[in-house]
Amino acid sequence: MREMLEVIAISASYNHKPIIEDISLRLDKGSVLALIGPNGSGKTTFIRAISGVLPLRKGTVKVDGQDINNMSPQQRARKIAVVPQARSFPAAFTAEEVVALGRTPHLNWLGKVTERDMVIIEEALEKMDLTALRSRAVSELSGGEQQRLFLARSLAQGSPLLLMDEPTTHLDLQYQLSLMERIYQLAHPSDDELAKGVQPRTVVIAIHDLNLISRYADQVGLLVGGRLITLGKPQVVLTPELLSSAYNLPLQVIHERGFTLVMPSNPPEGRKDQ
Amino acid sequence: MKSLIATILPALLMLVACSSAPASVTGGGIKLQDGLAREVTLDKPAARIVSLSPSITEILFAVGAGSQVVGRDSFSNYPADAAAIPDVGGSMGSYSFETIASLEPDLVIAAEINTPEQVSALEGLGVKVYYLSNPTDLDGIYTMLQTVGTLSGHVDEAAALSTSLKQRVDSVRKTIAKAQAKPLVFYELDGTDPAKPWTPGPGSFLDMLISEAGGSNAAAGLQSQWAQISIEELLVQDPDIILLGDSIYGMTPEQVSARPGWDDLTAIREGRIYPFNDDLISRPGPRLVDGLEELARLIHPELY
Amino acid sequence: MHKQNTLSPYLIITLILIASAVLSVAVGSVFIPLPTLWDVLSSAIRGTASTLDPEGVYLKILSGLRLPRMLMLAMVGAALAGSGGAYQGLFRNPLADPFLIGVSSGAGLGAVLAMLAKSPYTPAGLISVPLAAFCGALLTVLVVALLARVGRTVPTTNLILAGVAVSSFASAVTSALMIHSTGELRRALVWLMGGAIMTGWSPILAVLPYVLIALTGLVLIGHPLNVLQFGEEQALQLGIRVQRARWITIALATLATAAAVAFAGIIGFIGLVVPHIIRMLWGGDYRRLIPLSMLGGASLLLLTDVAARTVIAPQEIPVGIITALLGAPFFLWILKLSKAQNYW
Repeated sequence: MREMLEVIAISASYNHKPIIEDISLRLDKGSVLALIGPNGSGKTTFIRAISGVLPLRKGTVKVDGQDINNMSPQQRARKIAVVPQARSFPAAFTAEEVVALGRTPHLNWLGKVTERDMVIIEEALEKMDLTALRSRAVSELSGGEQQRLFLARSLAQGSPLLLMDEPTTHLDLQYQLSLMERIYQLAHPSDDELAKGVQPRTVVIAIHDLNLISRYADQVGLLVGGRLITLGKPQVVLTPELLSSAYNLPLQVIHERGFTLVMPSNPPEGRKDQ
Repeated sequence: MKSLIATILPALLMLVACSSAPASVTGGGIKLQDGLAREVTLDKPAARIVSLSPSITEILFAVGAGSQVVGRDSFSNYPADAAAIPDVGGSMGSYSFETIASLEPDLVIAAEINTPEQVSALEGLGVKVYYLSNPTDLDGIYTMLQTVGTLSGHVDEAAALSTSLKQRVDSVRKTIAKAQAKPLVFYELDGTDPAKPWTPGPGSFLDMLISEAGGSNAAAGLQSQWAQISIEELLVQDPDIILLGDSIYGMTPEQVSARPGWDDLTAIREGRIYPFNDDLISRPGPRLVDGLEELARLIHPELY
Repeated sequence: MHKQNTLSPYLIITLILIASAVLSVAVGSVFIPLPTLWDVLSSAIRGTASTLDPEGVYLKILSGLRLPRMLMLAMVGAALAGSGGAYQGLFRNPLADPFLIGVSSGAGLGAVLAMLAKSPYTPAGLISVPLAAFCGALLTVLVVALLARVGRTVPTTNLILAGVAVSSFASAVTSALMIHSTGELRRALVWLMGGAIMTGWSPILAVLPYVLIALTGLVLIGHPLNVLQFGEEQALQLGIRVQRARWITIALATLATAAAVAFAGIIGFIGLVVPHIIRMLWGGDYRRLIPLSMLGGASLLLLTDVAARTVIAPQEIPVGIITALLGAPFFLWILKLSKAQNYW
């Protein structure tokens, strides 16, 4: 089964207001899908809908071949991990404890952690370079470290599908880039890792910073007004026509040294220099 | 459904547990029904008695059983000899059952201020309890005295006391029969809120005593035995006499006269406002007759 | 989650509990020294009379009063603190206590109504007050849950709002009833201040099944509560059946608190203060916090009861007054400390 995520004509509402309409897409295992679009276009709602916390008005979501509505929360959690924005969280947990909670879908009611769970937790901490910070309280970590921590938790969860909602917001530039780099590696493990048995993950990342996606996304989906306008490779979607109409602003796309950059086409009015 | 089971279960468990409680003792010289409809039996009059209420302490001493009282509640302050008797608690609603048990009484006499739970707790400790109900009228006092006399082995003294009390009551009634008027009396129990002082209402013992003493209760129109009367109502009623039952807490006629709006009252303008020893009319016992006589003297000074 | 004590917290708290229990049984208006205590109890078990207690007064006090009271208070303290800890986890709020959604006001109303009914002095009549209090507590929480319900969920804010509304109403009715019935006023007041803890062994039999079931359940709900600290959505995404966990927590905590309050009256602050202390010392992992709170709650209530019975002996101050007197400044101190370190 090559497809990890199959979304079939889903519509969902929030507080009785329809937010997303008739969205369909497919995502292969081991790939990164970047969801872009102006604020309010339904990116967050889409993420919540395919994670199973928001009931669908219409349509089906299948993860690894299974309809998510037919799964218990525990089964769903084993397939789907959601990396939240590290905005509000209980301060008293240590980094290690947060990552350990990622094992919840695999633990019994008492939350008893086995040896194997410990190994997975260790690996997740290592992969996100958090081993040195393991005993620190979450509140003591920087924004970048916190975001890495929540990603580590989702890694420990061991779920093949990772959903991320604006994980780079509030992060310093270096953290934004390193996070995107890690996400790409998760979907595309090195040959060494593959040899060791590491499974490629599938990632859906809602993001509004257009300049980060060209190198790290295999596919880009453009959401406007709750509908999926385009879905395709970055160079296909990141075009001036599509983006200008989506963002209601004349935009130009520049390819420079392997990066694709999006910026306004007209310089700001009234500024003589530059 | 679940809550139904949840509520029936403790009842069942409690009934099972309680059915193994000690049965009442059979045989013996004294067998009485107490105020809780329980049958209390004693082989012989109780030699060691604990009193749980100041009124019971007074009665015990009045019938001559003072030396048999081995423990008394905190509020027992009359007669003065009672102070020397060990205190068993009660000022905050609970008694020290351990102290009571360690005094090894033959009998504990409880009053209406005591709760069924307290009676049951003492019985659970193997202590015999007699629950003495309050009298509903003056004649009820004599029954109380007789009961306590029987329980403590002072039947004759109780009878003699009853006789002398009856004579005094009759004497008051005869004197009051000559009265020409029926003054309106306001008895203040608690004037902390001068806009709405507390007063004994209809059906209370004081209400009955005021009638016997030839007066009428300004609070007769209120709803309960212990009620608040508003100052407006009081001004409408305009009592002839004001009695301060809260004088034992420090309330004085001067303080009352100084209350705003109160100086319109006839009783205050004419100076017919008197402190009154509340213990005389709030404790069911022989001193109620003292209270009656005092009331009569204050309400009808012209007849004395 | 911070301090790594080398001594097991369970060991420490259990030792404190044992010491409190011994103190509770030895101390009172009548002080029973430890050797005497030991001798009386061991003789009783062997079936012989103790030489240090020839008339059996100590034995009577111990078996009739102190031992059952000690067990009752231990259960009540454990129930209140365990429920308090669970509610603090459920509501993610350090001010949550077991009475948040109406248990105490419902129990109070039930108790006062039963007192006014003036039941006869029979086993059924004597159980009417705790029974009515128990039912009152359960019914009140049921009403609160129904009022707060949205579909199959009971959102936290709704629960708290409905709890406040229903509690206020029940308290107002209770006060009105009390003012109106001067005869039962004192009895009601004493009950509402935790001064009417039922004596003897029968109440223990009645309370035990509820407290046992509820406390066992609350101990087992620690892990889901941990996950819930990240919010309901994240907990759901981590595989927790959130609404089921919430309903179970509410049901268990209500059961434990209702049983405790029915037989001991309203005793405040234990459910609020004890989980806080435990959290300060040994962190906020609910798998540990709840059982440790239970042991700690039992200890604290036993100790405050010793104070209540001895401070102005032979007067027995209602335990609820002592817990309030201790609780208020204690909580202010915890508040001051928590501003310095971030334990929440």
